[in-house]
Amino acid sequence: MKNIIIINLMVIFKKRIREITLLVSFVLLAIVFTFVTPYFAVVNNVKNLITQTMVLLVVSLGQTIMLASGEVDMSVEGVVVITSVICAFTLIYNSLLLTIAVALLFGVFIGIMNYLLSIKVRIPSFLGSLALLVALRALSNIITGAKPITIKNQNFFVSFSTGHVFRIPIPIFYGFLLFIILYILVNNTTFGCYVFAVGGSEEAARKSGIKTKIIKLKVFVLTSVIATFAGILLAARVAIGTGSYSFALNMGFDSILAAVMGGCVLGGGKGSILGTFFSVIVLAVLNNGLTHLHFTYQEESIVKSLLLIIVVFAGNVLEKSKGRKIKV
Amino acid sequence: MRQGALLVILAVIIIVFSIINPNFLTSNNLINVTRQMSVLLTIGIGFAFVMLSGEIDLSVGSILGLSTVIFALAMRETGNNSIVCIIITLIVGCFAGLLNGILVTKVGIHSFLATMATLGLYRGITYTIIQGGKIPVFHPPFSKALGVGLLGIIPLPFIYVMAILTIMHLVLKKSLFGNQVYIVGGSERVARYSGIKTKQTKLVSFLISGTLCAFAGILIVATVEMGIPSLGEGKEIDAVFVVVLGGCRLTGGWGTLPGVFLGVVVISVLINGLTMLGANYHMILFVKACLLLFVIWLDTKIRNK
Amino acid sequence: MQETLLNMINIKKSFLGIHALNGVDFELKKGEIHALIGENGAGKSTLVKIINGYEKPDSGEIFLKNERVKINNTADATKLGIQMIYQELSLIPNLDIATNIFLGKEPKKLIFLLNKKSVYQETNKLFQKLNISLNPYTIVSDLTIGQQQMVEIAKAFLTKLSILIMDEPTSALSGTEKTILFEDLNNYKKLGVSIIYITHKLDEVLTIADRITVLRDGNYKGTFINENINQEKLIELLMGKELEGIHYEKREIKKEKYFEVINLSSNSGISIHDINIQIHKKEIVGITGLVGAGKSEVARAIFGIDPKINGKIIMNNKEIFITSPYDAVNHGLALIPENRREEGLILNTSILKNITTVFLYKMAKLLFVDERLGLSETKKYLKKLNIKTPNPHFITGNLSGGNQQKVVIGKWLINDPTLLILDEPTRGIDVGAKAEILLLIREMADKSELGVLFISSEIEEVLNICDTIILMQNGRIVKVLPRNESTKESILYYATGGK
Repeated sequence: MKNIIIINLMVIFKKRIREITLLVSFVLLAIVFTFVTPYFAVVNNVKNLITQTMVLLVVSLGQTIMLASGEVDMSVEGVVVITSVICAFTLIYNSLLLTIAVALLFGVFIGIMNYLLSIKVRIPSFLGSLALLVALRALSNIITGAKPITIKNQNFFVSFSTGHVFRIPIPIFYGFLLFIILYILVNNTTFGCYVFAVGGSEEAARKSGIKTKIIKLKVFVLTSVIATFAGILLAARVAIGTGSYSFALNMGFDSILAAVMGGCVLGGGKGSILGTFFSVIVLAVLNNGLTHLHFTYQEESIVKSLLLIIVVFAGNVLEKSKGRKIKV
Repeated sequence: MRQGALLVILAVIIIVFSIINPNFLTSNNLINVTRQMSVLLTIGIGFAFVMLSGEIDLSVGSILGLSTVIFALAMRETGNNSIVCIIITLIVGCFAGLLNGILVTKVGIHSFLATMATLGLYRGITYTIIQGGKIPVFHPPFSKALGVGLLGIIPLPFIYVMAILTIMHLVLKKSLFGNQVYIVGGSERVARYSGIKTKQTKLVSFLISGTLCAFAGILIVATVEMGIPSLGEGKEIDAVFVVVLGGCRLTGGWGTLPGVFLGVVVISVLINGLTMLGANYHMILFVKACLLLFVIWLDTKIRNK
Repeated sequence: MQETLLNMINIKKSFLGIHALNGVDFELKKGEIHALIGENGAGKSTLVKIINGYEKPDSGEIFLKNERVKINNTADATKLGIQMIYQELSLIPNLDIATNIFLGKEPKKLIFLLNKKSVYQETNKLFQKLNISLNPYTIVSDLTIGQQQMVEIAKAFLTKLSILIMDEPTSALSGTEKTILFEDLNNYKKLGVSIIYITHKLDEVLTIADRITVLRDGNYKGTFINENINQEKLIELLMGKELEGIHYEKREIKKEKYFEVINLSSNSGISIHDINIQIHKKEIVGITGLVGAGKSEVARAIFGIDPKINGKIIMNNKEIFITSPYDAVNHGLALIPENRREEGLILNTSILKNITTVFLYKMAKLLFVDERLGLSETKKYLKKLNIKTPNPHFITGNLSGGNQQKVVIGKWLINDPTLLILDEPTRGIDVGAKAEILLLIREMADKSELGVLFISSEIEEVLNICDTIILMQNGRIVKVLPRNESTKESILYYATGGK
């Protein structure tokens, strides 16, 4: 009996080695930081930490699906930024419904644009979305005159930032909700299955009767809409809409880093919602801890860049050892 | 074909802008434009090599920023010994490019991810070295020779860059290495099966890009007389713009340096004209992004005919 | 007597004026394994593509269970219970077996949720019915080719299957996997499925098939019951017309052993073991064997494209070390690869650029490459190889297959190689160009004292041009015959497993 349990555990271990590594890293980091700085293991800090990472979590989950399908979306950052601007402008009319509707519609529009650029114009998705990112940020600055616009709508704050649901801060609630929804979507629906199929081998997927172009369209739109939601959360938290470059800085890079740490590869076909979830936690702890250790943003940037290189390299080595051909 | 279209666009832009704002065609303004073009052109040349070989280098802006800071620091430490500092900076740029090349060819990371990582890495190092401050560089002979000096009415930096352009164009078209770059970009597998050392070719392309970015950094320092860590942020976008505008294919194997030159001219003139019309930084950026997408779309349409 | 399931009458099909099928009849009985054999270009693929709905016949009738049917596309074929397993498998490598099997046909619960439990349960049930012992959770890329094939077949069984078409199913299988496949095929027979089995391998045909249909040059040559026929008779029926214009001539080969491969082994794709080859100056050595014998792998290992596990290469009595194509080129080797469009040419660039790809090394003097030299040599070879093009700057992708292949050959000949390796050089080329290329190879061997390694699965070609013939099977050399001891029958005999 014991043997069977051990064997089962080993099988799970082998399959989930990445998630387990991440979990272990999280625990280790937390322990290290707790000892190294007095500011870390404080309730307030932890609460802040979790709330702040919700935005990155949401965006990274979307990026995970994107990478799994074989594409990249660098414009998520731009969507977050312009959503904050849209919120700031539309909230003048004091209708949450209007704000959300306009923001979501725009998100869908950007998703469709990304799709067209990638499939019709045939620009590699990373370049097309990069161009869109630049356009979106620039547009945000043009609309706001490069000045932040304050949001004053209390309803908005309560609904998306300061409120509570069952005593859980609303951003955390939404983050978790989205995590569960996306987890089910990716792992328990045909759509999720097809996303991995298209990312793994578009040719074979098409031969099996999967409408690959429709799947890609759905993925692009989904990612943009998710980013829109992240933008709403962020705008509610900081109470401004702005195109400033320090706003949502490098979110594109961070979301890709989290997704890759969670198991995505640039070639597509791999990825894990749970893995990304854990990665975001690890990154948040790292970020927070380093900040308390007086690392500057730039020094953290160095750490994160090295982390990306190491993670991709380790992933390649792991795949090679399994005898599989690396799909970059 | 592409170059003809670009020349036409250029003519149109110049005509339109000169009508709208008579200050456009003044020598002062033209000198300005020409000086600004130098930096973008230098980066563009290096970027073109990487793209022609089938890869991408997103860290060009960061290498540029890093080199301005390194140069300024070196000048301070060596008591304004320009020549030594130039050499040191170029070596740093070379190594930065080398790291990029190694990550892509030896470690096997896709160039998009690898150079996105080094973008952050180099930029982070840049800020960390000088703790976020700026280092002034005051050495008139240097600034004159590489920055604000003029030969007649032509800014000196422009002359150097045109010389570099000419040399690199010859390298690309007439040297063994240059010809092999095109083949590697055309099809890495065919290149490899034909006995070409594809990894080496790509590595050297990244090296060239890094070194040229360092040179571009030196040029900027000569003009603004300061090493600033934020310099070059966003330049990678510009590099993509001018290179694609100039006719290089994103997949590699196709494009020319004269085309890149034209791309730089068109973009620079356009930006200059828009600035004179009162457009701010963000509007210009927006126009650039839309123009890039439009050009790529047009390119795809024509190729599919 | 088994009942007739499928009846095809007087099927005709042409592609661009070339007759692929000239009024072919085909009858398939219920629950039989029916082999379809013929050489390259006999029309086997075209016939099964028509059955599978991938192509439509120009004329002729198809009857399924005595009812006339029209199969307009693969979806129609699936509805009629017809499924085809292609040579290039179509599974998603990063997903597991069960997911692949149910891809597109997933059972659902609560309308839009995937019923995962059901997917794995149903897969297990399917595997039980088909006697497959694989774990449905295994990722497809971790399976061997043989196992992947089993999964593809299982996938076909998800729909009500009455006709299973298999195209060269054993080309990448090991001996054990082949045995397992044959057992499985017999099981499927018992389940009432008819199998159409296309292959080159006559020994397999005689092992597994109930009946055998022979096609030759688009013509129907007869259907035979297995017990009533033997390998010799089949070979007789299969022999096509002699290649026009080329006949073997006894040639003067130099005595010195020039190039030698000793105990070469590699494991990339099809594993090859203990390959020993000797080539003398002016000699054309041929390697032949059926699809999957490992012939291309030998070329790739010699040329440094695939890493060697074992083996030495000796040239002019000195050992040389080749770890990359660069080394190979440096030692004067040349390889005309199997897939010219993806491995031999850059299609969107000019003929000049393609021909001078390797020649660049010789064109490089000091700083610059000598473009004039490149252009003049290119023109020389355009003429020599009779490449039909308006000018050297013509885009290579727009040339015909034969001319494209000549460009590839020119690309290598221009460097004065000392050993020329050709991998299926006449595949997909019209007859006229084929003859030209073969004559050219012989001419080069004579004049420049080249050693030539000529790899081809077209036995006639090998007989017409090679001085020594090496037969490979399953990654090993099974026989080496000098030309004067070879006939087509003997080669086919050895290549299909005769001892």
